[in-house]
Amino acid sequence: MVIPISYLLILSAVLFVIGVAALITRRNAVAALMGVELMLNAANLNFVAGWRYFWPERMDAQIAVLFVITIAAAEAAVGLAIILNLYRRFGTVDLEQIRLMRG
Amino acid sequence: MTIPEIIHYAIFAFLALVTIGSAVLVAFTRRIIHAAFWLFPVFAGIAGFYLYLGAQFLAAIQVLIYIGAILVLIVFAVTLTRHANDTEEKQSNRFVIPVLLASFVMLLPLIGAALLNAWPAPVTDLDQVTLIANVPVTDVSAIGVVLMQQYLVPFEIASVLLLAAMVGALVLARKERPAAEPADAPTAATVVEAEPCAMAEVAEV
Repeated sequence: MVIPISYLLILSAVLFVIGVAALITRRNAVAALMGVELMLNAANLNFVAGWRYFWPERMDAQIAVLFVITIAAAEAAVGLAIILNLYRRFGTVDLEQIRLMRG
Repeated sequence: MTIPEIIHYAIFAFLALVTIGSAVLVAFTRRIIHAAFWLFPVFAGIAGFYLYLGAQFLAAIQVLIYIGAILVLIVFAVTLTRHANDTEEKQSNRFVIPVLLASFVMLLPLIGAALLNAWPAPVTDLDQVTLIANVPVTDVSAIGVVLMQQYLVPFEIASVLLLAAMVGALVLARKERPAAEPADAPTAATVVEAEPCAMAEVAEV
């Protein structure tokens, strides 16, 4: 491979950090979930880069990515259902205004 | 056939620019619906990386599941939870500056590790690598062989998880009905009539 693997690792690190920032700073619950999706994608990219560069004879990384995508789909479905429920109960999805669990 | 180095770098730079640029917009755009749509280039860029790295099946799955299912689900959720004053309010909480600083600090060791680690020499020619006899790793059948033999139990558990998630999402998103149902089942018309009242109650709360 021509591209050094560190470029790919840096790229997925940047993507992951952007996802973390979105998850923590966003006030809209749906947008916070988008941050989680960014983080999962960054992790997947790391898996695939490692597979391609060092262990192409083992398929474990690709299988791991498949499972991560499966669980991301489940997470998105359940998470968005919870957010819809929140919206129905509070009339907002603003995480600052929903203070039921706050001390 | 060898592709000149500059093409490789051009592909990488293009994909990286699309992915990171859209990810920044996802994180910091003012309108939530725009953030949802900016997820599309992020997922497409990641799929491009999978293709470039030789994981064709994962690229297809990425397009199918992430773009086809999760993105549509997110757009639906955004439109269903719309606010009139969505654009006027601040979209980020009071932690923006500390979080940006903390993320930068978090990024530094990751970049340092990626650059300073003595990585072994990468495998250059993917086409020569075979999983077992006559199954090249770029072939989809290689994934099938490993998934159906080595990872059969996790595969089945994942299918149970998907079923549980589907049932759970249905139960969570279902409209709550009063405990005592009237004897005659509500027709579609009454359900449609009941909808605005329920929404008005929520708005009052």
